[in-house]
Amino acid sequence: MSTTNPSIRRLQVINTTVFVVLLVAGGLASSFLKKANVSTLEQRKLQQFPVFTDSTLWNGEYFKQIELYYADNFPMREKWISFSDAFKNNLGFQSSEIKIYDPVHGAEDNLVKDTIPDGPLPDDSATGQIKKRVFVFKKRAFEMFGGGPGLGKAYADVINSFNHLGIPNLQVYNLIIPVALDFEITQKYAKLQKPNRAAIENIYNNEDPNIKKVWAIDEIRKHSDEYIYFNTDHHWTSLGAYYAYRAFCATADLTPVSLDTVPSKTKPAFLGSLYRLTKDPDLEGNPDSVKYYLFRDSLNFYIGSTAIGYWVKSKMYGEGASGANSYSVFLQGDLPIVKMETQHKNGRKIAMVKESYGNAFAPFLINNYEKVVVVDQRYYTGNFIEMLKAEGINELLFINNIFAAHTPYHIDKIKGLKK
Amino acid sequence: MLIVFSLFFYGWGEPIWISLMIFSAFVDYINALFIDKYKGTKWAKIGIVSTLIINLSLLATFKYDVFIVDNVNALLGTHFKAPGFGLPIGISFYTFQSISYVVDVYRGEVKAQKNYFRFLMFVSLYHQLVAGPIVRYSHIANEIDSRKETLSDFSKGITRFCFGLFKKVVIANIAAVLVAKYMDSNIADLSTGGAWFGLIMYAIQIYFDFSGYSDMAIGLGWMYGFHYHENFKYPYTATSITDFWRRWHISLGTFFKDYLYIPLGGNKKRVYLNLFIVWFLTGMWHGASWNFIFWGLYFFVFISLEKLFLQKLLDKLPRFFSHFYALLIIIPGWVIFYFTDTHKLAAYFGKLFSFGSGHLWNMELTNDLTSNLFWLIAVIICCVPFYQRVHHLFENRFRKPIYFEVASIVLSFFFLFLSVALLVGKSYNPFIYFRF
Repeated sequence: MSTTNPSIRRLQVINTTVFVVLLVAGGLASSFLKKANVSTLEQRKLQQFPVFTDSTLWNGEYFKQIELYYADNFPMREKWISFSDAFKNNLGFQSSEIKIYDPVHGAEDNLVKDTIPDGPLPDDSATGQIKKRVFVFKKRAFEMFGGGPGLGKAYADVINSFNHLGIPNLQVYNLIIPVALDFEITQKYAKLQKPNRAAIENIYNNEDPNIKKVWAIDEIRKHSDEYIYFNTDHHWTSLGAYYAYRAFCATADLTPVSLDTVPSKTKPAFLGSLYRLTKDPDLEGNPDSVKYYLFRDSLNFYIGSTAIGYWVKSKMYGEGASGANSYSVFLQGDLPIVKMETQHKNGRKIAMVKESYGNAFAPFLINNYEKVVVVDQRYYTGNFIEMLKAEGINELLFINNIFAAHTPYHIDKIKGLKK
Repeated sequence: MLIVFSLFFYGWGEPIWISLMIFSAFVDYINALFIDKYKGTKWAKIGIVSTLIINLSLLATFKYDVFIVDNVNALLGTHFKAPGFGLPIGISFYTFQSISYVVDVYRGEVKAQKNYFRFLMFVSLYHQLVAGPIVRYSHIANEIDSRKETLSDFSKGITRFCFGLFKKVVIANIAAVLVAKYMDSNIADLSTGGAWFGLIMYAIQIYFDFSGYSDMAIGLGWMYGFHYHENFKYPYTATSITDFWRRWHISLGTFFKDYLYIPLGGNKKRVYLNLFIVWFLTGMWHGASWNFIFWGLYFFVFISLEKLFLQKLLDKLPRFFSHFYALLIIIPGWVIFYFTDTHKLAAYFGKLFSFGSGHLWNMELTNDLTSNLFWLIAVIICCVPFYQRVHHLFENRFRKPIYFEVASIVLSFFFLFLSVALLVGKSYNPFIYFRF
């Protein structure tokens, strides 16, 4: 195998030298370049060098964390990432009309991890797993819904279980929020997701007859050409939430407030979650603005804790929220429990169980209720039923977006509130 | 030095089971010396039997514990609990390497290694420990004792390593995303075209993943002065199933041939029973679940048919038919390999062959095909011996091997760059919710 050809030999010297130099240079750069703590691009903390302990050594965790540390602190990491994205976007022809992004793993898995397994949920593999795929169409990003009836029924069953809490005259409501794609989809792309209305109908049909169901989807559909969902974020705008509120008022026998005379403020330049997932240049050129309404009603807003009756006075809007974080203006983001008390002494006291979509919805209720308690199903760990009793709650609204209503994590978390 | 590094590499992933590997290597080392000493006597048999028992029971305990206990429970209605150790990395490979060594010593084909550390180095060589190939001691016996690292080998090793990394990161990993999208989705919702597309992506993923690892191992081996045998030879260009298994995971096929099929009697007696045993165990080696055994037996059926009459028939037909036949058997075979759940397995097969009923095609599939088109074409080129043809052309027709070498090296650095970018890109992990 010995080569006598001198030019080939010279080539081998070059090859070996370049390779070794690259290895050494990469190693040095990785050890000595300054490390960041936080990635603004990803809105997360980067992995820090792990602390050595015996137990993490033997189960391999220690080395795994070192790997993550070097991966997160790779020299010029963000440049590599954007090159990698550009490469992956050019493996073939991109349709100019529609772009489909596969779910980026890890993004929501971080939340799913701390699920409390409590009784088996139906294996929905036969009926359709929930799978989030994002696609970009007309400079807007959409999540595709694919939830199956099995999980929808599991959600309905959990809501039914709150219909018999032993609190006299407690009226339960359920409001399932459709996702934007349902209103934007043209005939051509209709098969990309499951129709939202059929899935909502499946849930409502499985719920007790005396639970009041809110057909927000029909009211929202009447306004589908308005700015009701963000272009770059998975949430709805406060206008979208307002139409759901109007549907809720019709169901709950209330008179909805008119927005005509309500002053508002706007947070500009909001590039939301779906932009961060896809980093699509079309989205970057179409940023959102977050509008929020300043109702004149006098209001006391409190942040609570697991301890019943412990409330700290605060403000309904987190006005410091800005940029990628703008949606957190509503109720200051996902706090475990908050309460609003108004001057409408009509005896109507509602508790609302929600995920983040509910944040934009809750402020409207202060126009109609004496008291509004908002519980985040994911983070509240206090005694939910005792809290309802202590606050004198007589109406209970479950408000979830259609993904959450078909996700075992959320279903488990709502079920967990009863413990 | 190499042994320390190899053990460190192994310990990185499996801090505890490193002790198991050292123990197993020690037993086999002693047994081989024992056999060497008592060569030709009945004592030698004890050495080999104890090696077989110890290695196979290590495999049974660590790889098949849950499988065995579950089946015993199902059969007898008992409720034993499996210890559930979890599979130590590379155990399937290093136990087989040790067995082949001890058997070769017994057969007098190699001399027993006197130095324990050299033997441990053979077992723990980090190049191939994780994902093969199964290196025979006899192939590298001389190199274990006196290795020579040459510049030429080192340079070739770099190129080979980069090609392997490219296969893993740029082909297999990208295919894996598409596999998950189709094969892990709700099977009832798949279109027939989608089912085939997902499956072909899986065929691509598994080949490039595995052969990419083998290339990296071979390349690293060259850099250190070891010459391992090739493990893959363009398996998807096979003209029959028998041919496929001469091209796919060659080190495993030859292991079973030399240490099981031929000792059982090979082609001379009870051929089909021997084949059955070999394919049953080949399937089982791939994983502790019935679907892998079915997968092995699936090949048993076609290899037997080929032996009986099919091969003669194929030889008469144009080559195109043989290729088509081989792919038509191999690719659907991966369904059996993929699904450990037999219900899903059956449902997926149903989808593959449900022409007419339901929908054949959908828009998402068109989108996935067009948006990965350049990549797909490149992958198909990598499945056939295009690179070798070009090499041959430059060497013999143009008589300009240097051009080819330069192009290969430039390409390998480009591949390295791409692979690093994609690997770093994988660490991109945005949060939808703000949780600092």
